[in-house]
Amino acid sequence: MKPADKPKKPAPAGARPRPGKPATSGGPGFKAILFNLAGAAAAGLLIMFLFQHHEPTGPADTYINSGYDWLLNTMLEGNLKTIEQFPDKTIQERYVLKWGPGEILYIDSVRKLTPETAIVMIPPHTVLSQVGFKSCGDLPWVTYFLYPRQVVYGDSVNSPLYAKADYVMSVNGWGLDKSPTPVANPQPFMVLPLKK
Amino acid sequence: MIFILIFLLGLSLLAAISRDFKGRELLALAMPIGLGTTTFIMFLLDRTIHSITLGAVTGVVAALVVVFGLLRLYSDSRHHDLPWQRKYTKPDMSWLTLVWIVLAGMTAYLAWGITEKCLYWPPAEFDTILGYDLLSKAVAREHVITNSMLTNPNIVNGCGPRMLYPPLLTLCNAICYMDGMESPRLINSLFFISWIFIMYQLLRRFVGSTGAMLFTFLTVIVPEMFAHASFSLTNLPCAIYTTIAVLSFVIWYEQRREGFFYLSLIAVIFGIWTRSEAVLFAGGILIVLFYMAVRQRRFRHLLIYATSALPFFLWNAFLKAYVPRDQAGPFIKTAFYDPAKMKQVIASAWEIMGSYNIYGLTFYIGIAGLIIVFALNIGVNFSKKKNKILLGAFLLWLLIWFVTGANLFTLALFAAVMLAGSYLNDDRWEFLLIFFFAWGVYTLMFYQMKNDDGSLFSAGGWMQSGYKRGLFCYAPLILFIFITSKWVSYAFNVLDEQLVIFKKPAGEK
Repeated sequence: MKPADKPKKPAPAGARPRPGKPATSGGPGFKAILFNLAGAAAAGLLIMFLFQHHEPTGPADTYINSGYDWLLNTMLEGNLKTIEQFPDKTIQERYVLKWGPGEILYIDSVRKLTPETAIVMIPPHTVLSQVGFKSCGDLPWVTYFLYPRQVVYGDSVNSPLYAKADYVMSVNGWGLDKSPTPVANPQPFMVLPLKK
Repeated sequence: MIFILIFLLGLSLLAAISRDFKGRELLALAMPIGLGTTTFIMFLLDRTIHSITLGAVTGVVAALVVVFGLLRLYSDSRHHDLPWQRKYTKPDMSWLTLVWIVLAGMTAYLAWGITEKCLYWPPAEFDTILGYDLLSKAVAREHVITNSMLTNPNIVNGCGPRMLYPPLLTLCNAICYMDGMESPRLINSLFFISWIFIMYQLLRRFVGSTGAMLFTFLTVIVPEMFAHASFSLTNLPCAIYTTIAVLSFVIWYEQRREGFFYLSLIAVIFGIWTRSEAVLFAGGILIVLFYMAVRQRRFRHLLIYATSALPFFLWNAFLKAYVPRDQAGPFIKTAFYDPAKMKQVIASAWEIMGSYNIYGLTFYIGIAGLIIVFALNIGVNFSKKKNKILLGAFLLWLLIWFVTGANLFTLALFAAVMLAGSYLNDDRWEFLLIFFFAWGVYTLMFYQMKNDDGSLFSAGGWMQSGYKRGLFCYAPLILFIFITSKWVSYAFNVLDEQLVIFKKPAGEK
């Protein structure tokens, strides 16, 4: 509609109820109830069509309602079942539930074993990949879970944090030599203080 | 406590801006507008006293609630319409139909389910962890935006562009952490639930309750968007703000209710404050305003709306001043013409838009809707010469499209024919123009991106990931263009008249 046409009533004339004329003149008649029942049935059929579940026979299998089927019958139902099953898990446990018992468990141990002011040295990327740690190789990822602790990689010798690190995350023997005192009972994963 | 105040801030701000909004519109809009306003307050606190604390934010928000509340009371007193002097009529229940109940019931179930999911899981999305939520944690603890994360080159470069998005969601999440929450997921739920009510309420300005509820339902169930209702990402909040901006603008354009102009302005500012690409919607709206300004020789609205781009420049200036970055931008800075790349961009775009798994039937309904509305517009008044020419233009477009396929020319021609059909038949051409402009430029942005490493079209690359989510802004709009067109809204209003169970109270229009 053009700005100059504003005073004119937009067509079609019946698009909005006419001033002073109520939409209906009486209560719910038989026709209105019938229309409502038919309309509700149509809405129900639409919902059934959209969310009808199909068992996929292959990964590339798609149906006209694939997305809607997935959102209700797979994504939402699956999640609601999990929530019902484990309602009281802590945030850390929920991460483990979502990602599995991988790196997040080790990072959580570091978090529990170090103070918030700690500067934590973690193994270099080569060591992390050897043990199958992928996400820990991303400095922002590991910082996200350890914040406000600061993180420095074991090979970042030029970083100002390197010399200041006060804890080391030892993995598969790496980092044991950085401990000020000999480690009596070495474990595959340890968090050790660095300063005496 | 802080979230109640934020809600009241949005409510009082909107109430102070204009008396045009209905009570239920105010309630629906209050939270997103309150959250957006609070992030600006936090940014100002950072820039002035360098201390974003929960106490300072609560204090300023509470003070503003009082100020805006008093402003509204002053306005009410000038109009001799103070709340305690008003005569209240019996509530109008004529909108309530069985169809409405079925659709609203299903929408409510889905909203409840996705909110449960959202609040249960902690943030786990790559972009959140390696981006804005990391920054949120730092803002909450260090009380400044220029904190140890944003000023650390290793972190900034490790995060890529994610940490550098405008700060609306970052600062919203920071409120949760400052308030002692372990997860910021409440923010996403507040946005999503508000959005459902906002969509319905704004659509009710164009169409009856059944049509508004049906299209609210169809928007809620867009698969990828629905999934994002439980993700802590910026795309959905941005889509919420841009949808509010465009719908409010169309309401203002047609009904000249000044409040909706300012609502549109605020919403587009918050959209840009969430993701910079929302500036494209400001661009589309400015084109319509420019047309109006030239036609009416009045430039006030154009100039006011042009200020919506300020947050874009403000944030970029802030980043330039404080953030160490090595990254070269993802865009090619010179103009070029590569038809093969253009074809690939258009093909990838359609692969995403037309995927049943990602957008369901949304874009199919939208495109069919555009053609149906065009056909109705020219068909009803076919005796007029202009409509015969329009039909000829459409047939010509169809012929070219069959011969050459989808390319920049055929898509631009399609947009032009649809726009002409709408403009010449006094339908909502402004809505179409904003949509086509923003979507067209958004798609061309991806054409302009570098593809040296193949990441533009690869799985999980810019198109498959970024473009896909960016379409959140466009999926609701293409549905709303259909439902708000004069013939479709007319049809739904006729349907509503047949479905009325409770009659309107006497004297109600």
